[in-house]
Order: sequence, then C-alpha cells, then structure tokens
Amino acid sequence: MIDLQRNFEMEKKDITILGIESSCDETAAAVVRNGREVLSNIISSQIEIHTVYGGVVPEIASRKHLEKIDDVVRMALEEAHCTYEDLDAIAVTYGPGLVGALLVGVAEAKALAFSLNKPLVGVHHIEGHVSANYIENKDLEPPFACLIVSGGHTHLVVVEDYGKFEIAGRSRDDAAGEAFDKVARAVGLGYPGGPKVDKASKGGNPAAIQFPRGIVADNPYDFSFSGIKSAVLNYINKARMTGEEINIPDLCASFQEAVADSLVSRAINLCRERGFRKLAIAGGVASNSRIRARMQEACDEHHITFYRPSPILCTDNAAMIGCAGYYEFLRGRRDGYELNACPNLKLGER
Amino acid sequence: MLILGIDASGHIASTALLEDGVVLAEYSLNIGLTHSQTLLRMVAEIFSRTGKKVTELSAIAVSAGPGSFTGLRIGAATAKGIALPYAIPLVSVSTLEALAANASDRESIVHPIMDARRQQVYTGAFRNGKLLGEEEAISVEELCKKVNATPGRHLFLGDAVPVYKETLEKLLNVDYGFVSPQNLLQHAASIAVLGAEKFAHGEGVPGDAFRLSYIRAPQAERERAREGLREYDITHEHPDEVKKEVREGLLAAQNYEIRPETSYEDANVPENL
Repeated sequence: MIDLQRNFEMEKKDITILGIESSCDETAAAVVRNGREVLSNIISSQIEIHTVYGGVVPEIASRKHLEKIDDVVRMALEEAHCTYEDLDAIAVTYGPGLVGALLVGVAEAKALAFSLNKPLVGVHHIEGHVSANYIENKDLEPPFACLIVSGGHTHLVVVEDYGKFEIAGRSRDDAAGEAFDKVARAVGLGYPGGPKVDKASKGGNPAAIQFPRGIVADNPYDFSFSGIKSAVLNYINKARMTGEEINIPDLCASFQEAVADSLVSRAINLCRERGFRKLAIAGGVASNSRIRARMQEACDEHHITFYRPSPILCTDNAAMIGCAGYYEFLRGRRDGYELNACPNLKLGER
Repeated sequence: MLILGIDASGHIASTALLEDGVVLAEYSLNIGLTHSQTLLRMVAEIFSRTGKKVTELSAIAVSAGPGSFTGLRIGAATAKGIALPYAIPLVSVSTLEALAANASDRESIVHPIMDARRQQVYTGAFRNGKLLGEEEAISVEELCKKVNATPGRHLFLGDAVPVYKETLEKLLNVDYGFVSPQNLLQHAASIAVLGAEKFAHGEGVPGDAFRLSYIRAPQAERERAREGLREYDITHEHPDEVKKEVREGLLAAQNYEIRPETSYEDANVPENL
C-alpha cells in the first residue's frame, strides 16, 4: 500500500480522479486530488421530482440521470479547472443501488474511460460513504469503527484498511432511513423523512413517549428498526381512534431518540469491546442532528474521537466516490469495459 | 466522414462504423447478456480492428427509441460518454425508422414491430423510408385493423414478429410478408447510415441535449395521471403558489463546497438534499 503510493509519488506528483455517482436519485460528479482534496463536487438532485410520489421512482430516476450525466461531468471538470487529460482515472459507483440508475453512471464512466484511454475503477457505494470521512479529516486512517446509516443500509463495521471491512452488525429488518421515511409519512411530514423528522423534532421532548429500543437477541451489534417504527405507528393509530391530539414535535423527538439510543449504544460498545479510539459515521442519516449530538456526547464520555462528514458529504455525492476510487486505484483495482451494475453488491464484495 | 452507430434498444446489441457511406465494420451480439457487459467491448473491438480513432468521428448515431428503456439508456450513455471529451455531436435515430431501413423495399409499406410487452408493440408504418403516421405503442389487433384498411403490400420485421406471427397470419387479410431472419432485428449499420444523412442535414446535437423517445411514460407517472393526482393534491400547495422559477431549476446541477458543520439550515445545503 505505502510502496504503491510512493511509486506513484515518484512518477507523478498528483493523482486526480473523476468520480461519478448515480445509484439512487442524485446525479453527481466530482474531481478529487490525491484522495482527500475535493476540487469540485457537483450534484443534481431529483428529490423534488420524487417527493410527489412519496419515494424514489426508479424509472423516473434513471431517465433523469441520463439527461443530467453529461452536465455534471462537464461542470465537475470546469469547477476543478481540470481538463480530461489531467485525469488519472475514472471512478464510478457500480453498486449497490437501483439497477437502472446505476447503469447510466456505469455506462457513461466506462465510455469516458474508453474514449480517453484512462483506467476505470469500480467503487462500492457504501465504501464511498465511509470514505467521505477521509475528506475532511486528513489524519483519519484505518483501522477505525464506522456506523453506516442511510435509507438503504444500516451497518456497523470495522474498517480494517482502505476498502477492507469487517461487518460487526447490521439491521435485521428496515434500514434506519426507511424507518424515518415511514414515520414521516405516517405523521404527514412527507418525503424524505430524515430531514423532515429532524426539523419537526426541534423543540420536542425526546422523553415524552417511550418507544422500544429494538434489541436483537443473538448479536449485540445487530439492529432492528421495524419494532420502533411499528410502535410509532400504533401510537398514532391509537391517538387517532381516541381522538387525542398528537404532539408532532414530541413524537418525532421521541422516535428519533429511540433510534439514536439504538445506534449510539451499539457503536460505543463495539469501540469499547474492541478497543477502537476512533469512531466514524456515514450515510444520509448521519446528517441527523440528534444522532450526531448523541454520538458526540457518548464519544467524549468514553474518550473516543468522533468523526462525522459535513451533511453535504453524508448525502449521495461523487466526491466520496472519487476518494474511495483513489484508494482502490492505489490498491491496483482496474475494471474492464464489461463492468456491470450490481444492485445487490455486498460490502467487501468485488 | 466517420460515423459510429450504436443500437441497444432490444435483445441484440449492435455497433457499426461507417466511413463516407461505406460500412467498415458491424458487430452484433444476440446472446442474452446485458448490453452493459457487451456493448462497449464491441465498440472498442471495431475501433481496434478498423484502426480508427474516436477523435476521427464526425458524429455518433444512436438508436433513440422506442425500445427497452434500460437498453436505450445503456446505448445513449455509452454514446454520450464517448462523445463528451471531444464534443462529438450525437444524432438521434428512431429505432423503428432504422429497422424499416433494413428492408430495402421501396414498394411495400414496411411495419417494424417491436415487443413492447403488455400485449402491445411499438410500431410505425414506413413507405420508402418515410414515416406515414406516427410511432406508437398499440395492440397487434389494432395494428392489423389499420393494416387491413390500407391497400398495398405490407412487410413486417422486428423482434415482435416471432412473438406475434400466428396472430398476424390469422388477422391479416391483405398482401403481406416477413423479412428474412438476417434483416429481422436492429442493425447499427442502419442507424449509422440514417445518422449520416441526418447529420448532413444538421441534426447533430451536443450530448447533454440528446433525448430518448420512450413513447411510454413511466408507470408511476401514468398511474398518477390516471388518478388525476397533481403535485398540489399531495403537497397541499395551491397551484398558483407553486413558484415557476423553482420548478424550472429543479434539476439544476450545482457545485457544493465542502464546509464543516453546515447543517440543514445552511443556505449552501439545498432543502431536502
């Protein structure tokens, strides 16, 4: 690893990577220098289009990706004051995600790599999320513990090395972000649930309603959110039947607290039991203000350094793909023109 | 004038290089693999075998639909990615028009029919290369009714021929025929030839302006239209209050600087991102 890096450093000073991301409803491209310096971070978000449907519509997402993909790539280079010739490789998310959406980014990235005769590097979307932490924390290096929480994933992992993970725990049912979406829909806040619940809970009392914490029997690091979600839905139904007024800030704050408790306790336990002094958080739900605050408090208490990306790096973006792609590039990963989209790609799988 | 042709609208993946009206190479595969795994390798192969370079291209002609939504997008994204660094124009060629061009029959009315699933075909009627009505997704029964009402000889081709051959034979009562198997499916050479003509007529566009013609709207959109739901029924916003400029800027790509400790409230982070 270090030798490879040194070799590149001897030949050429900088390594510049174009990252492309289209796994869900954000079309994104970014130019990243030497893995951690973001020269541009272009995102075209479709979220308002999907809001009408209460969730992402895959076919619409795929169509919009194709319309915007050239734009975001061109803007990424312009903003970075880069030419295509300056690029050392093209990194692209090839899974997991929506297959039709992934295919647009993958086909565009492969064709760019062919047209420019540059190396192609396939990147795991979740590895991208984890790597978002490297961008703002130049000192962060593996090993560390990382909690990945998003609309599609809830994983507690040990980052053993760049691109090398041990999965300690995962959600047995809903992803944390799914629970946020469902609760938001039930109380009429709409889509996307994460930011809506976060905002609505401001001023609410997190101890107002006691929701379960979703304990999983056989693995202390596994999560369960369907129980929390069901308890919230039952509470709402019961209140509606008895004609009781629902205090939405209290409800949201209490739900959020139950999720935060569940996430914080497992992440801290992993750090304590395995002796990690560094804990990072990643994924869309990592933007949640309460989860960030609770995690910070717990880390301070246990003398663990807590790393969290800016919200703009928690959302789907291509800067994180450029970053993860850089380390994959150094490890020697090169993909051929037959690279396919892998909608169900597992973490650590290639 | 060097033109690259790409067609990934159906089960067959096809690519061709056309130089000054001469087909230098055509490579087609119909082996059940996804176009994502085959198409770009095939493109690379024809460049390598002909010794041509991407930078020599005058334009890239792409099958623009109708067809498999995902297939069309793989073809289009491949074309866009190749074109982008050198600002090579893209030329949009109707899949049906290109199929009709396979037939080389100036007398018959040519009906390319593509399996559109749900008991429908994508089709259009062409005479001497010109579209007579419009391209549409209709049932085979409807198509036969139209064909029976139109005098002349009719020729059918496309991937829906094997699927609906018996139905066609049963319902048609006019003079008709099917093309031979080698001309039945999409040929990128047809795309390239038509693309070259269109390009000569100034029809090339930059990649970001290229659009596919799917003919069918996404299912979610169709359902929403059927139920008569509009945005404001769901968001409870009055339509007059929905700001026009906001809607137009909906998909605008933007650079987001990385600044620590921005929050949802920060103006740099868009609402809902």
